[in-house]
Amino acid sequence: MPQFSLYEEEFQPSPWQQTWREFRTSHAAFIGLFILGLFVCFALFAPLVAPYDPIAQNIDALMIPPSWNMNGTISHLFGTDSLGRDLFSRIVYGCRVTLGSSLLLVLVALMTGVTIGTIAGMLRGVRSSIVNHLLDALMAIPTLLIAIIIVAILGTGLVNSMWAITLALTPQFIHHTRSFVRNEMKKEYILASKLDGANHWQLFFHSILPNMIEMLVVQGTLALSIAVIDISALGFLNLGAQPPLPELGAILADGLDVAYLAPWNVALPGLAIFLIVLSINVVGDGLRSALRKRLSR
Amino acid sequence: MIRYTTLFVLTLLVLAALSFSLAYLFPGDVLVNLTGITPQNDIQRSALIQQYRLDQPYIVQFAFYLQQLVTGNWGYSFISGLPLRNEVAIALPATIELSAYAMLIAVIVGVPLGCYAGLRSYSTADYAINTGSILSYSFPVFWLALVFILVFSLELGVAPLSGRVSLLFDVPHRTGFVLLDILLADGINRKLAFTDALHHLLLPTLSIALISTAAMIRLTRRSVIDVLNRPYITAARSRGLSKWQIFFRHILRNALLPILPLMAMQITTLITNAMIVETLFSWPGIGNWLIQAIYQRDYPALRIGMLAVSSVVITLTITIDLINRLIDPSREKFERATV
Repeated sequence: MPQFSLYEEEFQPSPWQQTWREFRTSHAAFIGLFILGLFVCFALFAPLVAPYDPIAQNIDALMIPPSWNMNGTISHLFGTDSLGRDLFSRIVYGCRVTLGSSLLLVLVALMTGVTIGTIAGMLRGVRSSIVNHLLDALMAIPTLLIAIIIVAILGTGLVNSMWAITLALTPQFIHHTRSFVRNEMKKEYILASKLDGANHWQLFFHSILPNMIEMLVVQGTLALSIAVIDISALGFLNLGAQPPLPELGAILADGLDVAYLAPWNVALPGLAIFLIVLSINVVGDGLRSALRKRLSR
Repeated sequence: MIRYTTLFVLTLLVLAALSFSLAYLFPGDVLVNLTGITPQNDIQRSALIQQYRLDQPYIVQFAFYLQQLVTGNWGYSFISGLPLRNEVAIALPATIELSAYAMLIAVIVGVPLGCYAGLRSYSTADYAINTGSILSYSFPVFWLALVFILVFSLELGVAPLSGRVSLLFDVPHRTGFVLLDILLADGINRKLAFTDALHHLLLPTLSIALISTAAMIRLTRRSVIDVLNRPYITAARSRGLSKWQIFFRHILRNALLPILPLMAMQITTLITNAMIVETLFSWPGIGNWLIQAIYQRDYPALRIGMLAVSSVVITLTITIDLINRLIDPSREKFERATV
């Protein structure tokens, strides 16, 4: 028997396809991806999915229980709130606001983080050390505190709370990018490119970035789950999205006034946030273990 | 050691500079933001400006600000008119107490469960623990606290809704930690007061601890699995050591090392969660205080509150980093493990 094994098949799967294969073998991760996809569809096609206008009030239908309740009607699937607004429509639009803004802010944080992190990773000596220490200081300030300060300076609003969370998430991306770039810079393929005369830009775009994307995706899912929780927490505390805007945390805070009479107004938006975060976490976990399995082969 | 001291001092300086600049960034009068005193007339105003060196360059102002901070003159709250130092001294220990108990639960429950799941990795028990931890990790903390209130306080009535201790007990403020204060207090039924305080602590602590515990389990499990795959475990096994010997001598020590710096990162999440939970349970902590301050636009309070909370967190983080470096000098300085 020959000691080496040649790859017999004609078709060689790319790294992404290998990861996808590993990912598919985990049922939990796949279901998570499905649920996440559902929420993303809600977010993208909210006007098509939602049966009512999310801020239209209907005095004839105050606090109708959900449709599975004895007193509920099928015309309001999740019931209505204390102003007669259809809860299902509000939650669908809420997914759009919460998930959409979280996705956006994670992308912004990722871009800034990667840029600064790469620069910090390629720097050496004192400057790099200063960046590192400043980052550690920034990372130690709790998100809520940053948000409170930004709200105090700029005033409440969804966009301001997005800035606050972006500011809180960026250091993590910087940190990971920086240590990744530093580790890669020591490897031999980088040395080879350097000997070929590649400058810093070429090194980054052709050699480091392709290897970094997987790490970024995993970090991105982690950041996304934090972002969803934080956006809704700020909305809940009345520091982020303001009431008429259907944001899941703000809907929950609205429902709090009638929590005893109409508990579904608290339960269902909370459940929606929980499911979004859970599906993101499950997908992130599946992705991470898929990558780990692929690399350990 | 010297490195860490300079790092610590520099970070605190940066934070102080940040809080100083907040006085300029916040809307409204700089003088009022900095002192919390609204001057009644022009004479008092110019006297205050003189006193706080506001007519001099920024550097001098900042130096004076630092001096004020060190001597404990932190300014006054807009709303209550009380010295901020006293208010922070009451609020901060309450938050630290809550977070400390939550962290304690997280370590006591999370580490053993994580070790068990890691040792039995990819078995049914491991999947059960993993599922449980990822479920509780995904709870938004404010919703979890609301569900706890609905179920345990309103439906079952096993735990009180808000506050730290029943108003029937007149507990004097000494250390700021309610359990210690009760033990030190005279003239009340200590046992009754103690159980009452524990009842008050139950729900807020649980809602914070559940999320931290889940994070702890995941970190420990990953770390144990990583250690299990190392060659020195195989070597220990081939030397004929028993399972328990391997676990206590080799796995546990090496697995817990990378967790320590991650715990430092957990502290910020923990404090954020504690601050949110405090508002729901009307816990008289710094989070509740800060959120009331932002609702009422109490800018001096926000400035000092930000400085106090971030200083505490920085102190803890740097201490943990230092301890980590002392017990494991082989580690790279700021290396962090992954979940």
